[in-house]
Amino acid sequence: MDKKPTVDNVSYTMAENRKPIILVLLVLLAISSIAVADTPYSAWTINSDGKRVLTQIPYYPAGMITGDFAGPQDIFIDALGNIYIADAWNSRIVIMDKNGANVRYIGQDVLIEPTGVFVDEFGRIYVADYGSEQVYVFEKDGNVLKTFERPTSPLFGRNSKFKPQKLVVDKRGNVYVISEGSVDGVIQLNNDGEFLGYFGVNTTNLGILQVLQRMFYTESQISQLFKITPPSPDNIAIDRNSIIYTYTRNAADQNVKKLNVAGLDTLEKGKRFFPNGADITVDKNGNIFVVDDMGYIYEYDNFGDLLFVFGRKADDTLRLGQLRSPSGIAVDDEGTLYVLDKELNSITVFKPTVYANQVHEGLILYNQGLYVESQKNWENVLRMNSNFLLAHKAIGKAYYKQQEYDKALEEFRISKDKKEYSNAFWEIRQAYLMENAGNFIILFIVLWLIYRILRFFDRKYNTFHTIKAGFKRFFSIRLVNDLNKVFSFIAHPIDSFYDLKWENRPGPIAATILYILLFLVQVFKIYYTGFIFNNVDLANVSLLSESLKLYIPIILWVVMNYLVGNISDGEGRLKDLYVGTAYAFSPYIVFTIPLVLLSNVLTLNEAFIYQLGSVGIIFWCVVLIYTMIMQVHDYSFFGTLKNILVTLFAMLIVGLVAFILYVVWNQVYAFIYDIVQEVITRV
Amino acid sequence: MLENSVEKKTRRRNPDRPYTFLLPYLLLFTIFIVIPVITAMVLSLTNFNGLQMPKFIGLKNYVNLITNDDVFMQHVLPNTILFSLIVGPGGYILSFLLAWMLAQIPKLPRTVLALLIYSPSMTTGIAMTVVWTVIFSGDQTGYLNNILMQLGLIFSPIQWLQSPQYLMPIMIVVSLWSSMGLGFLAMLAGVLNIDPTLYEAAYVDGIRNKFQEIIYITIPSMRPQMVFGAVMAVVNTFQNAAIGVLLSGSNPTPNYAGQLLVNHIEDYGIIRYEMGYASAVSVVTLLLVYGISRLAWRIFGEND
Repeated sequence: MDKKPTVDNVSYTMAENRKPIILVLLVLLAISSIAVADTPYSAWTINSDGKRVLTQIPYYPAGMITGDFAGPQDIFIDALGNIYIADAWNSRIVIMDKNGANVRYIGQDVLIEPTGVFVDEFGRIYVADYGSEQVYVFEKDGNVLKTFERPTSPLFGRNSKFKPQKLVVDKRGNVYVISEGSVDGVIQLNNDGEFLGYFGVNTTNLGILQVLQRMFYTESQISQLFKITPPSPDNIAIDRNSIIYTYTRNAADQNVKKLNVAGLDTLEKGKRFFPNGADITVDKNGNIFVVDDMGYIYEYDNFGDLLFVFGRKADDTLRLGQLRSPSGIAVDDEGTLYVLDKELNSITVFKPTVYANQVHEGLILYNQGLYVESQKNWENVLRMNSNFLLAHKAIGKAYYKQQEYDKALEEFRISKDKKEYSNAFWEIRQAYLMENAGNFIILFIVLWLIYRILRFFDRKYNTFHTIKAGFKRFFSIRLVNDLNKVFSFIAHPIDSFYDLKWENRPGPIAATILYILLFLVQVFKIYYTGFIFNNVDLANVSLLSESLKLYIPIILWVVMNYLVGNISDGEGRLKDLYVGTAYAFSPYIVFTIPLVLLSNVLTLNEAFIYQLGSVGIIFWCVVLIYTMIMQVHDYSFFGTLKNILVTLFAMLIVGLVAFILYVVWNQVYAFIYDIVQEVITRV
Repeated sequence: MLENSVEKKTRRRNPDRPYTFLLPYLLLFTIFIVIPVITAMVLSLTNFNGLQMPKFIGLKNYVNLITNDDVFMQHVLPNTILFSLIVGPGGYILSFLLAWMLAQIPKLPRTVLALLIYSPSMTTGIAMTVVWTVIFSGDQTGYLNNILMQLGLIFSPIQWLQSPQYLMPIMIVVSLWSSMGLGFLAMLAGVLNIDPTLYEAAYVDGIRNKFQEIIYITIPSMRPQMVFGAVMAVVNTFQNAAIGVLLSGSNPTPNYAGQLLVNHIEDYGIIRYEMGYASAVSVVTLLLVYGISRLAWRIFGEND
């Protein structure tokens, strides 16, 4: 996601979804996007795998307002739809109506370089003047009402600078000022300009080194270290409920913050935002808009989840809707976006399409928990873009609320929402259990009785003598016997590996069969693990690459371990290692299939059973490999550890060499290919 | 000959003499164990609020437990399984390892250390208030919060004991810490009782290190103590269940994060006075403990 989005490498990930319905919808989508093909940009969203997916155009360019601006820095729209622009280089505020007419100017005599503007509900105009390092409050008619200078309070900090860039005002009249380089956060002033405190400070991320330093250094040593300061917020917005949003550039995973009264971020941790935003704004429904340096506009819902991205940086042939160097974004009550461009000195107006409107209407209901009521909107959205995950999630929630769990399950499966899926599945499972628990108990009792009766007859009259003898004969076949040894390897590893070395049982044929079984088990795991526990995207699975991923490390391991053992007093033969490694995977081969089957009936409530099982299997495999090396090579405990580490290192080296050879070979190939081409064209 | 006949005579005269000697124990066992268990079993078939006459309702309590009690199915059962899967075997392995290690050192430090290690299992309640609630205190004066904040790993104190996501891991840690109980003492005795000549013989036979010593000599020679330890671990795990309530200070625990079977029983029996339902849950618990103990017998008692 950190890559600069360019339209050219947007992949049509939806085509990878192998469902015919989606393909049909894709065609429909392609047709419908022709209808708006005159937009000079495309739009996309991020799917659950973090991949870009093309989507409907959410906003179309509706016009451009040009004015007598020079390097405008900020834009604000008041409740009536009037536009206010901080016209920085002309040292004034420009006011116009929403069509760009009735232009007025204020502050021409007082302002030096205004970079931020805000209008409160009484029509008072607040201006952050970067040039004069002051905040001005103007009356509606343009007279200066108040000026706020650098706070004198000692709490402000003796050396802190006051360089106001942007500002917002909340309903109580408190002013929040973004000051250049203010690492303590947003400066909060009351309506008389008194300093109230810093607000919404960003945090620094400590690396392991810093944590270790703090752990072991003395205080004087710590004070000598280079001070790590948090990034200062760059832009600010406020919504109807006086919730403050800040934007900080290049601040890992805290670019966008939604701050409550205490100045704490209320967005869920781990949401990812794009890092190069220029301005942020919020519409009346709490949707967050960010415009970035590259001319892309991002819309997030009020939980901070990406809805869409659209836009494109202007190339030489400037078309309506392209931006060159955006500096401000604002949204009016009708949802129209106004994007200010400080290089084009103009405002581009984007109006929402039917698609975006449906999404927004759906979101309003969805955020109020009216899932059922929002269902119609989301179905409309899906008709236009069947890949819109949020819509699937919302419809799933609507079904869930109406207790139609089967349908909900399907929607959550599409939206890849494991938590909701698990809830719906729990309900289905519960209903099934309630209906069938009695039958299961009866079945169990009947089976048990049958078993007891059969055993009774067998003991008394030896009824099953022939069958038992048949089994005995079957298990005495050498190969079957060898394969059956996986169980004794799991239960008694030391004795079993001892036998392997000294009695040559089991043999290499059984081991080869086990290697094949291992692959089959792996494939079974990939394809049949329950949705909740499956993190593999089946569309990207290739059996060949899976088999290579499995067998190459094993072959490397066996060969390298043999070689390493040879030069460090190991007694193991290649055959022992080959067979031993196969049998060391016994727990994986035996227990994975039951675990995978179990994963289909578990919900997140019981997830730990699956996790404990997986960890247990891997742990026991590692123990077996360790025991194998110890027994086969006849090493001590630490000798085994050394051998394993050296083997892993050798495997790494071989991998590196193979990689270098591959690169070199490519060069050689390209070289020969060029010569051949040359010869063909010249001769 | 004569003596023999006299002996026979006396035996005939007092055929139930052994029972006379057993009587005190049998009496106490019946009064305090058998009767309550049977009462619970009977009560579990009734609707009983502790005041009025119990009303017989058949198996309805059990049906409700499985089909209608979402808290039980969604929280209590998964929590109990997780808790006992980790604390049971974990505490068991820890007990054995510590017992084995203690057996390697001289007598005086061994006795002192054994006492130290054993004491948490006796003093759980006090230790909880003195040690753990202070360590995991939810404000910035709590030890863990303070250390993490000084290192800069967290920026505001975490409510360890009130947050659903931390309560269960903390419960597990504390339980492991206090799991060196009777089973541990038994194992220590078991390790010490092994005849040292066995080890010498094994070394003659080709054993080379402590690891092989444990696998081939120590564990096989102390099988009875191992079984006892396992059963005690199972029982302890289910008894220890009050720990979530002790730590969080409330029943039910926050978001049912630390709710175990015993808490569920207390919740219904002592707080809601639904004695019949609580009895049904206790009977289920009894069956669970019995089943797992049987399993432990199966595993550790196999070859004898």
